[in-house]
Amino acid sequence: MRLFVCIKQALDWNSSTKDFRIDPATQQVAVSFARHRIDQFDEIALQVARQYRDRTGGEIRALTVGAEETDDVLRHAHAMNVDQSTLIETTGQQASTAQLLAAAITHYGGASIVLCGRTSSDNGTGQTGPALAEHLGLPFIANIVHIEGDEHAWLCRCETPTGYELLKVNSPFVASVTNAASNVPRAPTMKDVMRAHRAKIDVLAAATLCPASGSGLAQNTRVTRRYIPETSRSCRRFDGAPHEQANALALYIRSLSIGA
Amino acid sequence: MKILAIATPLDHSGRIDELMHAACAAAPEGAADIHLLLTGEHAANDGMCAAGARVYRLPNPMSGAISPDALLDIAQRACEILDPALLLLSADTLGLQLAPRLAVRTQAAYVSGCCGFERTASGRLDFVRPIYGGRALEVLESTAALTIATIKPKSFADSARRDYTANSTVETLAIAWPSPSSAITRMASDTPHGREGPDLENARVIVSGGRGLGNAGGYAELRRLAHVLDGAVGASRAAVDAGWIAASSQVGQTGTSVAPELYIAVGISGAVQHIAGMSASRNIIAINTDEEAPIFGFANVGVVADYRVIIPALISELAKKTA
Ligand SMILES: Cc1cc2nc3c(=O)[nH]c(=O)nc-3n(C[C@H](O)[C@H](O)[C@H](O)COP(=O)(O)OP(=O)(O)OC[C@H]3O[C@@H](n4cnc5c(N)ncnc54)[C@H](O)[C@@H]3O)c2cc1C
Repeated sequence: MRLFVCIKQALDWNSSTKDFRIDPATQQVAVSFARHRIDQFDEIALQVARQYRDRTGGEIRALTVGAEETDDVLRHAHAMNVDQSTLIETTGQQASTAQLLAAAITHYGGASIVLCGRTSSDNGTGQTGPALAEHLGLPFIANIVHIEGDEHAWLCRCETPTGYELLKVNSPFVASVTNAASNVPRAPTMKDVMRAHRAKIDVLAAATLCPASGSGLAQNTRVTRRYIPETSRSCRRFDGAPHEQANALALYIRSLSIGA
Repeated sequence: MKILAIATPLDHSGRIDELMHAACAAAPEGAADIHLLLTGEHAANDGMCAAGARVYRLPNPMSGAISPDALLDIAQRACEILDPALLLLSADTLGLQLAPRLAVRTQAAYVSGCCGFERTASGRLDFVRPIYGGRALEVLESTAALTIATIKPKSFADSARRDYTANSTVETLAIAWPSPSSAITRMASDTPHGREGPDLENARVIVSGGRGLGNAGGYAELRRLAHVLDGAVGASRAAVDAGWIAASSQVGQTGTSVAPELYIAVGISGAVQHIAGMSASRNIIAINTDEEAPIFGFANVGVVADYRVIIPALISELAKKTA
């Protein structure tokens, strides 16, 4: 059983991001003391894969697309006990992330299960999983929180807008993963981190996986501008005794023509 | 410019209105060529008429079961037949998985969670979408013949309706529903407690409670307040995870996106994932015991207080004036 988990590095929101701004020159986000770590839903995808493997067996390979320095995120995956990892190394604008991931998975002989995070905290498009499914010709399942069962009779618990549902899946599949009480990532121990440090990371060159001569490799959108919308709310505090606060709140609510 | 909106069986009437408002906003002045494919049992609504859309009905013969794969095939066929320049879907769970797949199949550009359009001086249509959980916006140019955009809920609800004299017309489209794929079978679904009170997405007022309520009982006070304000009750994920309230009440990145006239955050700290779903609210009141809580940074009005004291006091203040 071959499990692939697609992960990436993103800005860590839990470290201070108070001075979040966009650099007008580069159109990139600029944060002082920016820290990067594995994106939140990707880490949860690793946790779900690991829970499944530890119960049922199989091998997990973590995949990431990026430049050489992004292999930190794969070290983190090793600290979370993946079996193998691959950096798909890019050197400039090439194929889409989903195309590269699909090519790498095919390179390794195909997958039983491919997991991605539900969405990323930076771009937040949620497109990589569905697009990857399409490139691999596999069904896509959104927002799973837990997987059980065997090859060709998998049971996936998925979050829906109103609760959960249980799906039976009898073919290899690609899924996005969302958070639940059952899949909170376990923090790596010191020993895990040490082991991860020594782990071997495979490297595949993006240019070899998806030669530029192929058709349909162009990026179909271009960013023309990024900016922070002006929603400067300055918070008015109502102080005083509770009944004074309540009175001020009631006046404020009425000033919005709410509450008759 | 030909614009095709596809309504899935999960798109309720309000969503179809939003798709139509988005289509009108994208259409060049006075030259709307708007098409709407209904794949569910949708009734005619205001949006379609205002947009003067050509409407195609293709209700699912296998009523009940929604197969994303079947919808994907239909969307692809509709693109082949109608050849639109812009295709719109709702940015809900279903739309967010259909659109990227369709974009791969049709070699289209994809814009996820589009919340606005901009026209450049040369008349090109650009796409605005939130990034970093709504902290910033980016403007995208499409370089493909077809652009597929998922429309972020509540983004086009207020956009000015154009007064098209044309009414919508209903036409047929020769597409057969494919048989659903057998790879995936739905075994069971559970909806812990149904949706409560008025519809969260469309409420003018939302009273939202978080872990600070301390227990499920805290929602009784919030429901009373919501009732007085004719509003809906929302929640943070922490409260949903604790089992205090239904998942359908969750606001945020992994819940519903809302933009009411007034959002009252009670015992909610203001985590980025929560803010992502409510920062577009017109007015925000924060009630929290911790004066350092990040939620105050997003609120218009803040009260540092215990909700158990302030909510009952507020309810009686509001009652006083109406008496
Ligand atoms: C992948 C992922 C996705 C997520 N998606 C979402 C999402 O969609 N929506 C969401 O909301 N969260 C989401 N979260 C969770 C989010 O990170 C926070 O954990 C959550 O929003 C916190 O909820 P809270 O504000 O209710 O609780 P807390 O952060 O615990 O805050 C409780 C607040 O209540 C205040 N308080 C305590 N007692 C009282 C009292 N008596 N009166 C008044 N105030 C009081 C406290 O001062 C505190 O500020 C997500 C997390 C992850 C990892």
